[in-house]
Amino acid sequence: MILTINGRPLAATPGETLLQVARRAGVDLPTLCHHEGLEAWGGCRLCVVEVRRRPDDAPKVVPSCLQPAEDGVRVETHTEHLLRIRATLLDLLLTRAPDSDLIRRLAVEHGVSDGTFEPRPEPTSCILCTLCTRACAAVGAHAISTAGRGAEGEVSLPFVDDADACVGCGSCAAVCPTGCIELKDAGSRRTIWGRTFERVPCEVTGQPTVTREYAELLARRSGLPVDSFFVSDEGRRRQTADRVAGLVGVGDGRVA
Amino acid sequence: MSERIASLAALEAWRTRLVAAHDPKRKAIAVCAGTGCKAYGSDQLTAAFRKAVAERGLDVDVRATGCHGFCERGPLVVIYPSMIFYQEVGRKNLAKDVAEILDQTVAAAPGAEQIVARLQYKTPDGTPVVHEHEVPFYKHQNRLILSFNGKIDPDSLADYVANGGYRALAKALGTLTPEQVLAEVDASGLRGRGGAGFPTGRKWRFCREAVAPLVNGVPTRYVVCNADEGDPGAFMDRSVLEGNPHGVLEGLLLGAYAIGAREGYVYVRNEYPLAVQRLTKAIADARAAGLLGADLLGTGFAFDVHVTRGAGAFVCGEETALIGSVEGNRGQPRFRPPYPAVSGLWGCPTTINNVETWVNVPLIVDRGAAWFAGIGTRGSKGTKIFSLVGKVNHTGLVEVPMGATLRHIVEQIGGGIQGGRAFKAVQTGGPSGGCLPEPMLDLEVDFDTLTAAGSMMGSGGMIVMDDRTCMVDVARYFIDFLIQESCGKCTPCRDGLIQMGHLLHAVVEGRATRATLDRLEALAPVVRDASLCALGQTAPNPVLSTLKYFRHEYLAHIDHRQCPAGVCKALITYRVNARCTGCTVCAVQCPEKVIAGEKKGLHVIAEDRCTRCGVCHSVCTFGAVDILPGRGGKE
Repeated sequence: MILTINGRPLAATPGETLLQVARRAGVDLPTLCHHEGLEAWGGCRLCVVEVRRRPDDAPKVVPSCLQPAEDGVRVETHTEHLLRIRATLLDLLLTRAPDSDLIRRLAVEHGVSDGTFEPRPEPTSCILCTLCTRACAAVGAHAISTAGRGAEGEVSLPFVDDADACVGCGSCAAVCPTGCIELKDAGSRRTIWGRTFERVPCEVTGQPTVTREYAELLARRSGLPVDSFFVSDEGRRRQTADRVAGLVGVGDGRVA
Repeated sequence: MSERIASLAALEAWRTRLVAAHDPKRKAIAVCAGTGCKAYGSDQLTAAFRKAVAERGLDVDVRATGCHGFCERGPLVVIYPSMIFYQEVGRKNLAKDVAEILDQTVAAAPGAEQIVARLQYKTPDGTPVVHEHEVPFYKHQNRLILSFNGKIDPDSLADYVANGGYRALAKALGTLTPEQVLAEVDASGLRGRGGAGFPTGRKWRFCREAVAPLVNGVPTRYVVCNADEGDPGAFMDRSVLEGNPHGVLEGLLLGAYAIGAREGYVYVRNEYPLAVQRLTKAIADARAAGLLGADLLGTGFAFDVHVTRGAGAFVCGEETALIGSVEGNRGQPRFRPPYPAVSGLWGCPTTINNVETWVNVPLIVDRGAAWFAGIGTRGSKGTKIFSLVGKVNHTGLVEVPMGATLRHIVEQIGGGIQGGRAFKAVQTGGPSGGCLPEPMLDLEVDFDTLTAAGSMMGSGGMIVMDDRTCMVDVARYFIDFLIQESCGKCTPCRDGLIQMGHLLHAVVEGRATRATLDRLEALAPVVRDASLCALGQTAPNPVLSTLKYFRHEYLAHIDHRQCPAGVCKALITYRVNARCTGCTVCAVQCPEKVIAGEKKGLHVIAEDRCTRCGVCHSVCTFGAVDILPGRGGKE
């Protein structure tokens, strides 16, 4: 099917979202709650676009990350109205999270240098994009969730401090766009969500790999043995090299 | 009847027996057992009537019915068959009221009844009214749906059947194909009563034509009844569910038959315990009678209903959030498409309508689409129930044909403004609706006219405001409500509404400038256009509509630091006028002790220390405390 983005005809396949089509065509659309590996959320609203089915329709503002591509639709990504929406949203977000470098950079790109609204009583860096909770759910741990409603909502453990379900994988901290989830690695000790884990040493290199809890979760989900996850990337390379060397009969099967 | 009804013929036979056994001349005392009247003690009243009837050996049926709608005057009692209307029965002297009604009205022969004058309704000019249908509040209504409420005992399946209940279901199962039922609803022009007014027949067709995934080998679709009515001051769905639960079940049955569903859910808020109780009983009775379950009425059609109680989140009235909540997830809206009609409950095609929509369906199937389409306006058919509250003389539930004017509702049914004060605005559509001014009173109310006027139908809340209502404060109130209820998923609703709240607080607290107004007007369209669900998209309505129709009030707060209605505490002054008799009541009652004055001498409020709590104004019986707009006493 064919649709147009900013007047330019583009081919799209059924099932694609407008964001995918736009990005493939090199159209720059900002996002904060979007991650290719996770279910689309439509929360930050920065990726909104205007859509019209017929030329004389009133444009409808929709999130491109969720709006399915349809044959013949006309999409605009940078109208004055959309730019005003994005600037206002970034102003709101910068007011909420003034210490986030990413939000500030995006805001500046949209002509907002400082949050102009009334600041929160207690500053936060969390913009409630829920990438962390969705990543945690995708991992299969379901250790964190949003709690509370509205602007007072927050990402939380069950009953605030019950970290039993956390496996210390660090996915939440890795996907957080504003870096507000604290993860501390000191040697093999990992501290996250108020809980300290031990990362099991790589059986080849001795480097810390993943936590036993995470390995057990992965083993349950994949059917592979738990130990198979206690190999670092470097260790995995060496194992492969050894195996190849063994197969072609070079040296003693060990790589220096 | 506790045994199963084995066939359509058996249902009709039962109905015939019930109708034959009912003596239309037999006296009956119908006591309203809606939530409002129960709060006034109607349960004790019913018990007292039953006891007194037994003691006197009278052949009189005492029945607790659903909400009659005129809640303000509860407990309400109607004496059948003459339809003699009594109000505020048992509020002051229960035993005396019961005895006099029985001895003077009920025990007398029809036509020879005497009326207990002190329990009669009197019009504002003092004329007493005898019969229910002559009370102006009822006279100007067209009660198609609510008529069941005053008539039947909501806990009695037999009562519902005797009044034509499940006749539409029998007609559908016996003589109509699912497609014909759908066509009937489609042709009736019924639109969803939950707020958006989407054509019900079209919604059902999307669902019926959507591919249904197999669950346990069976293609599965669902019907859902949205009873998560959360608008402040609205209780239409509550009263229907409490007063006519079988009507809602019959609607669901017909919908399920039309779209091909075998299971349904009623999502009802836990704050409606009576609705939950009566609905649960109705479901149990319907199951026992074979009106729900497998092979119902021996036709092979199978359908059952579950009740899910909501935990009190306003946003769960939004259909995708509601579906999430039924599934056991966080009640948070999601983007549509896919619409629930295509992928709803557990990914299956789902038809979701609200209580009032469902309860219209049996009437349409029973009496035909043409009859229904004959009521209302070109684009909005049938009647609409409003909960009329605020500063009108008569508050309660009213049902009028679509197209009735606001003036008809406010003046004829509502009896005008309390205390003869001036009408200022009517707020329709719940917290996200808009406020319409006097010149809009002749608007013929339907889905499209209200939207065009900058408000909306919503589920049918209608709050009337008089000249002592500050429109900026009203906007602030609704925005504060919506801030509390925003789920927090999307940026504009979560962080934008709270900033709109800050800006509005600045206006009512006298801290605003013209720039505040500019910011408000710039932010509101962003929240409206960029929010994810209808909650955020409509949240700016109270602000935008008051800015459109009552801009001068905003400007008075900003430019002159005055609240013209005398509401906003930061922008008013209390002052004692010459009518003061020196009774000292205000000085005694003042919690801040800032009123000085001798006995029998003029009192004076120390305005710099006054906290504007308003106690002096409310305790003064001489009208000697003025509320002046502005601080510093400029009049």
